[in-house]
Amino acid sequence: MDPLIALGIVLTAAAAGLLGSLLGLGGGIIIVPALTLLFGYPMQEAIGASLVAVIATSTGSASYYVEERVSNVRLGLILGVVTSLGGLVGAMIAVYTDQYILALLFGLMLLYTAYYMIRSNDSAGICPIGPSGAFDLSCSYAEGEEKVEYGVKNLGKGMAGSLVGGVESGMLGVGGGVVNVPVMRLWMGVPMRAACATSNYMIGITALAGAIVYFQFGLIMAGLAAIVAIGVFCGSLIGSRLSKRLQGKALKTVFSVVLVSVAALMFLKAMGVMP
Amino acid sequence: MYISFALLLIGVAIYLVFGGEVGSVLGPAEAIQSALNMEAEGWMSLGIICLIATPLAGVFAALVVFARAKEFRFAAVSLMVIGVVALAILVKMIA
Repeated sequence: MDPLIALGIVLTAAAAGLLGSLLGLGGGIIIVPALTLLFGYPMQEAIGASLVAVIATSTGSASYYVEERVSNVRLGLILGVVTSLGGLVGAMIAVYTDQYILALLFGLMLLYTAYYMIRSNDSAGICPIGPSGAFDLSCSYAEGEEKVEYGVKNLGKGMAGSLVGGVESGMLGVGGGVVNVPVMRLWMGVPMRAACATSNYMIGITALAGAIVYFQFGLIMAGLAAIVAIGVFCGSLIGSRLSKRLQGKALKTVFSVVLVSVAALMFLKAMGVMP
Repeated sequence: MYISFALLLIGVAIYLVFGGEVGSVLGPAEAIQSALNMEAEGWMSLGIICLIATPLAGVFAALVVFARAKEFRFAAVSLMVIGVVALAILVKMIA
């Protein structure tokens, strides 16, 4: 690999890690289009490298949230069963799918993410404590000096929704948080902070199943995945320090516009107009 | 996780100094052999394998914690996640 191209990829991955941690997204949403559109990698190789990066960012932030007891590990594991299964299925589909179709699907996912970022609302009620079917997934965490306690409802519906997040992750090399967080928040009545933290915990498990499939098919290139993981790790370290100082809303609006523009480029790639 | 990054950095450093061919991630046995030969591909592969294994280690830890606390339903859920990962390992053979 040319050293200048490698440097470009490290810097892009660092920017993805930085923006990802500022906006609460996995870096995959930036890494996959950058590797395919800017650096000319095939979709499958870009997705393989991105899944490794997703695991890197998830592992770092998840350990913090689990230690702080914000992640609902029980809920994350139950949803993790279906998201990892979805990740496996999604990866298998992607391995055998034409890269132009993957580019089209990625473009559609970018449009949905842009919509989600502008529209995201936190007005749904929080589920009161109590069992959800056979499992009691009630949990609590500290918000300043206040203790937030909540239960979990609609477990079956939530699992079905998370399966979609898992397929999206394995197929397109992203974390799946843009599906998992609203599913937990709006359908299952989990508070926003706990939903984000639990999603962070889950996406590592989800990306793991997908990454193993890509690895088995020889689609994770060691050099590419290594520099992407290093870049994302450095970027997310800087991002987590900056996130306390920056206001998210304006950034989200600007980033939504960027996502729509990248989606347009991915559609051009899907039509064969771009290399 | 820090071990993975140390391995990846060693791989990148070897590549920058000595060069060499770097292709797909190697399997664990090949990666160890390649790393012992001081090849960048081996160190990078070991770093990526360690990184991929990190969330799995977390699930195993959850399994042990739930089993010790006699929360067998959640221990079974942890085992199901491990089962899906095992399926992912076997999927190429099945396919």
